[in-house]
Amino acid sequence: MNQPELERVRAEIREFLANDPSIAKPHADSWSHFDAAFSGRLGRAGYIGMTWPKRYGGGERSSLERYVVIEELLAAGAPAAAHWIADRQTGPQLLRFGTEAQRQQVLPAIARGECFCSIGMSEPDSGSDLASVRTRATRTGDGWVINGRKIWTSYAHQSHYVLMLCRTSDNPAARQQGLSQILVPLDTAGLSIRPIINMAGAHDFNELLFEDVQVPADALLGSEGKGWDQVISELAFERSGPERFLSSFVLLEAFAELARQQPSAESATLIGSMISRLVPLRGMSMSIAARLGQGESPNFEAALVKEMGSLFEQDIGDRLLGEIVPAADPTSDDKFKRLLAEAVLHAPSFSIRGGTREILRGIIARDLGLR
Amino acid sequence: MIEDTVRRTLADALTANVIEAAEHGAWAGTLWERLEAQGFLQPAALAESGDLGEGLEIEAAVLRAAAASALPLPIAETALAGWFLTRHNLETPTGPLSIASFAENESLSMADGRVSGRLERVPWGRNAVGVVAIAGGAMLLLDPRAAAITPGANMAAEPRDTIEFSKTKPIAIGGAADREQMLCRCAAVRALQMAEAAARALEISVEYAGQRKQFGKPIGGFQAIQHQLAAAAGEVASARVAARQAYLALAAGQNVVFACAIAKARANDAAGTVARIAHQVHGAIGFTQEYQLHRFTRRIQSWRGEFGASALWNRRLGEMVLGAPDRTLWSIVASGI
Repeated sequence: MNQPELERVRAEIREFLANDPSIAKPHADSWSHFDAAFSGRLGRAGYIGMTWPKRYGGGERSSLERYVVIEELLAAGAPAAAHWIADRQTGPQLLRFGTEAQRQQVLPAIARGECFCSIGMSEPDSGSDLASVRTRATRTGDGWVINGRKIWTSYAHQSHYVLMLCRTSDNPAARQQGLSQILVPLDTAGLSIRPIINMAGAHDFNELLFEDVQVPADALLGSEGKGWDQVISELAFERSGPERFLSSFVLLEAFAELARQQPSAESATLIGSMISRLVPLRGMSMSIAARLGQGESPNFEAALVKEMGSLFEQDIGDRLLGEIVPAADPTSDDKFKRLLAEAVLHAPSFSIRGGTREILRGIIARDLGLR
Repeated sequence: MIEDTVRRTLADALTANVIEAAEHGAWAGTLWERLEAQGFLQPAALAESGDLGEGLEIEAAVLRAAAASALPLPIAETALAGWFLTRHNLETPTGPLSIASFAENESLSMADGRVSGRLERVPWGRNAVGVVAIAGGAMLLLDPRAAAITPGANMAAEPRDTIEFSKTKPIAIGGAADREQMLCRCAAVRALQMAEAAARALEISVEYAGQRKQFGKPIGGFQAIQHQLAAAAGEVASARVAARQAYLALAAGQNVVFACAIAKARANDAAGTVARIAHQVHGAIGFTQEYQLHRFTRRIQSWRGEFGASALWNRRLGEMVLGAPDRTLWSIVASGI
């Protein structure tokens, strides 16, 4: 993919965003702001499932073209949560492990921006130690019965499917075995969804209770017992993307707008110190995107990007609050004060979601040869 | 491949005696001649007649190998001086060369074709057969042997000398010189050296953590150690990428100030973190003269202040952003400036 083609994609998505009503109010951590109408417009314009085959509603574009689009969404603060997980994770998993029927059933709707997905991994007693999940799927004559609980399930109350990691058999000696992925429609009987309000006051998380939830046999994604390997295989996609360092970028952009009105050495130095961290991070992330496009799984490099990236995006709000601006106000009409509040209030999640800082450092240490 | 060749040469020739002598200010002349004979000096300048990008690749490979060996010779400075001389169509003399610091406050004056004034902290000024500097807006090659030299050193025992010129006739006078462009070129080189020296400090620390046992197991088995080394690995990786981006910008002749400023600021900040973690992981042994870690940490700490500390480059980057009112910050991040 040569540079002029990528820049054409960039110009196109910028024009799309400039004409979209959602951009009047940009958000920090915009990929956790849900707006189904925005995702619908984005999907109809061909910006969801960009790399997927055309027969599933995709665009057969390169991974770098998709990269350019998602970084532009984040840089603009676009409310991208509704389709984010389906586009980044669920769709690619269906492409990789799904049956033809499963793909036909779900992928075109995702690509149109009409079908949204949640991740069913964490449980009340299983966070970083994911292999300890206890939610169980038991085979019946013609399908599966699921019992258990999932938690921190973002936007389950507004999505259509949850891709579950369930225990389907027991082997205490090898906990990673005996796990399977099952795609469950969120309106299935026996599945109840309870809201969990986050510290920013938003309803993003949910707790899901499964009580004899019955799904057909073809709800199983991929191979029975191979759920762990299937989940691990896409971690590099989940961890290396620009959402791992651009969550607060709109705040820095808003600060630059203010600083231009009243330039000072302090604000110039602060902006420069952020750019000198961001540009190399972006370079690392883009080179991973290129490798992912060639079928590689650079999990170590992805862990590095997420670890460095979350520190960076946490520092933006932290430094502006600590060094420059005394007042952050989530209710303010002043864009900067509102974004500062959003960035600071969302920051704790940056180094927890998608693998905690401690888990990522463990992965890096393993690659260094220490574990 | 060139990198491996240089590494092998240095593994063989950079003996404990050579290192020890250099720590006390001795010139490693035999080693210099060997590297010169193998054609490892002034790679970018030599290749410039052909492909600029290829020349820079070769330069980077040689400098990476040298930095990973803590080579106590001015091969980076010689490469830089050769690069500047070649660009000004001046002949590059044989032998070690050096360069001015290109700091804002540094000024030489020129009158009647003769140069007066002081250059401070010139690397290996006492050993150089020529020093590239700026006077009267022009690039010059000056002869330090025709000037008064006051020896100095950085924290890594690398010579950093003050050279006082008094109506000295330059060896050669080039065309108009852009101080910031020259500073950027030097900053990219130091950033590359720092990234590789930091990578070596990390490597030594990981090896040590795997060998040193306490509480019945290698200390690398403790999460407290693992997580520190993981943080250092992130710093090293991003400093390397930033240096690479600067070299690509130099080869393309685009976004040069932007990319070089980022590379040096990133290397400076990474160096501080990596040095601190490397020593913490080692405990007392890393603080001794006999152990090799300090050869790398003293260099990266010394180099942080050379060709621009982070404050200088970060402020410059910020001023580039604030000075471009028609650009969003994001468009600058995505496409450079």
